[in-house]
Amino acid sequence: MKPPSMPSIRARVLLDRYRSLDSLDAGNKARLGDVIRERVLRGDLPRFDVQPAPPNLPSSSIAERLWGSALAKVVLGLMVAGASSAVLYRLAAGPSHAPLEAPALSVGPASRVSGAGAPPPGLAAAAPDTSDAPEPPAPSTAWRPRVEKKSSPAATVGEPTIDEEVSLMNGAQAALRAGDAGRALSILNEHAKRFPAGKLATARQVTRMVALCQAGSPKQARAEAATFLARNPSSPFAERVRGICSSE
Amino acid sequence: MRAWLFSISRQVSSHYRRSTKRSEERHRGLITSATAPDLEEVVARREAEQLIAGFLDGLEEPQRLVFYLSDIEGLTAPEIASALEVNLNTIYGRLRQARKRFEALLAKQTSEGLLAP
Repeated sequence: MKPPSMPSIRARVLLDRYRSLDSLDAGNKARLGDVIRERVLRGDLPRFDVQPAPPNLPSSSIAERLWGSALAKVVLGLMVAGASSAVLYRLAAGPSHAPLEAPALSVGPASRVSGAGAPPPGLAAAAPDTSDAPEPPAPSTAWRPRVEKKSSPAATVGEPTIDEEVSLMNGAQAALRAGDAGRALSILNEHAKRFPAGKLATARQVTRMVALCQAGSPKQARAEAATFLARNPSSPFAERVRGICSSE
Repeated sequence: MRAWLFSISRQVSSHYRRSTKRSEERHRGLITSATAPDLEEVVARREAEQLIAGFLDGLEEPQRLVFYLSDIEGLTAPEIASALEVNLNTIYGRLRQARKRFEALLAKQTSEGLLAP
């Protein structure tokens, strides 16, 4: 399902005015941020309904071609759940009119990452990477709800969707849980290349800091944390980022 | 409902948000502040508050929460889906419906002369 279209300009003006008068109190904001942060950092990312295969799906991946099949989803979901021992990927058959829920881990991007054949890159390769610089801060008065960004020409070819982003992030989280920080960084770099301004870009940056800590590069993690905080002082992740490497 | 989510829902709900006292305090603060906007801006904000608060009142709780977290608080749909532990498509659906109703309300208010075009 596509995201809904943005509100009209007039609606945005009214919402901006309203926002200046009413907002969640600090306690609720902090709690909400904590909940989102905890779930994202442990890989509990939103799940998706089964979607039909895009019309121009590349034929290079058998898994991608199978992706339109609900049966394939069940099988792949069970494989994922069994392999990772994670409870995050739930398969639930809904009523007959409702689609079967898919596991969060899409096979397309994950298989591309894992199937690359390259050994997990070490930190030496990941450390100098600068492709994941935090995005510039939005002006405080800007319309905050994200505008659906137009796909770049490169991105349009493969019709990337949010579920691909989620898949990559799940892959990175799984690698972190397995103690493979180098692989996590590799996947995060892949995400940064494909979705530099993706919906999960912020979560990626924070996850990368965690991966750097786990990989024994706290200095770089803290440097990225400082940059992140300078640009995103009110991010829901800010508190977590301030304590980066203190518990990893 | 989990305690933290209940707390947020309670704040988003009309009874808490739109108590007369809170509203008056907000506008008094606007008018007396050293950096107070001009009267026209105060009126415009009050108009927006009344319109949107009334709109939120008319939404079902699930739509209200999603609309508020998205279009007032500025969270992304994936963030809301994570927070509420709800399928992302469900979030999209609720947000789409709420925005559609909001635009319809604006059109109605405009046609009735209650809102400047």
